[in-house]
Amino acid sequence: MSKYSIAVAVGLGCLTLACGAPDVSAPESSRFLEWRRLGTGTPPCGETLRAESIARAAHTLGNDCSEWENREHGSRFFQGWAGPLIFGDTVWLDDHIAKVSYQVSASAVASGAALIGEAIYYSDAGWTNSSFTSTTYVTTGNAAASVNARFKNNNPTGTAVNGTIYW
Amino acid sequence: MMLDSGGLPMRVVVLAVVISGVALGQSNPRRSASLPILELRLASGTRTSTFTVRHEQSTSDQPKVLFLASGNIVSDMDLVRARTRPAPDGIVVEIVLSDAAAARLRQVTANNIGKYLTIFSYGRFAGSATIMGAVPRGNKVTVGLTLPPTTADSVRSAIATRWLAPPQ
Repeated sequence: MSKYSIAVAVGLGCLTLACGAPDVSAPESSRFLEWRRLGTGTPPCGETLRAESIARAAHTLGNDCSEWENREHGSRFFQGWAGPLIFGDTVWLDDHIAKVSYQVSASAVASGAALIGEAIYYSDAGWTNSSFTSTTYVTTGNAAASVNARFKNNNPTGTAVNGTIYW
Repeated sequence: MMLDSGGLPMRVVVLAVVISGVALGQSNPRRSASLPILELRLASGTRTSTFTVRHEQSTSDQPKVLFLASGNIVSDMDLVRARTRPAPDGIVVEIVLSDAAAARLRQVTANNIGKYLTIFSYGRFAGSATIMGAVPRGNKVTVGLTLPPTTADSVRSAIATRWLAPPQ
C-alpha cells in the first residue's frame, strides 16, 4: 500500500514537472475559475485555463495577452509598481459610463512587502481616493470617468504589483 | 361620385383609414426592433441650438430636464462586442467599440466635460452620466443601465444573442 502511494506521488510529481505548470493546481472547488486570454500573444491567446486567480494564471503562463475574460463575471488583469513608501505611477483600471461597481484586488510580487493601494474614482461624493491593502469594492457615481489606482509599500526597493479588476 | 353622394361609403373609407392607422401605430414590436439595443446620446442641462430634444428624467443627482442632441454618438452598429452581468438596478454592459466609434466618443467627451451622456435601450431612457473626463482610453467602456427587471432580462438576452462570443 505504501509503495503504491509513493509510486503515485512520484508519478504525479513527474507529470507536474513535465507539464511545466507548477503554479496552477487542478480545480478543486468552485473558487477555481475558468479564464480565457484575449488579444494576441505567445502562447496564443484565446486558450482557456483554470486557475484560482487571474494574477496567478498570468504569473504561470506569462502576460503577453493583456486582456482576460472570465465566464462568470467581467474582469481585467493589470500590473503596476509600488514605490518604496511613496506611490508609484497611477495605473488605469477601467472607463465607465453611469454607475458601475467594481472589485479591485492587488498583491505585491515581492514576498513580505506590505502593499498599500489607493483606488481613485469618481463617486457620488466627487473624486475619491480610497485606501486598501489587498481588496476593495468601488461604486462609482453617475459619471463618465476612469477608475485608476496607485500603490506603495514598505520594501526599500519597491515591488511590482499584480492585480485584477472585476465588474 | 359615390363617395360624395353616398355618405355611407365615405364613412367606410374614413373608418378603414382610422383602423389601418391604429393597426400601424400598435406595431410596437416592429418599431422597437428597429430601435438600437444600446444608444449613447449627448445631453445638456440647458436648451441650445445643439441640444433641442427635451427629455424629463428622475435620476436624483442629475437635472430633471435634459436637452438631447439630435443624433447619437454610439449605437448598435458601433459595437464590436458586448457582454453583460446583472446589477441591482439593471445591468452592466462592457462594450468594445470600433476604432472610429471609440475615437468619436473620446473626442465628444473630451470636448463636453460637465455635460451629460444619456443611455437609451430600445428608445427607453436607461440613465445619464455627468462627463468628468475623456472616455474611453482604449476601445472598451463599461456602461451601467438602469432598467426594471423584466426589461433588463430581455436586454441581456438581446445583447447575448447579438454580440457575446461563444465560449471556447
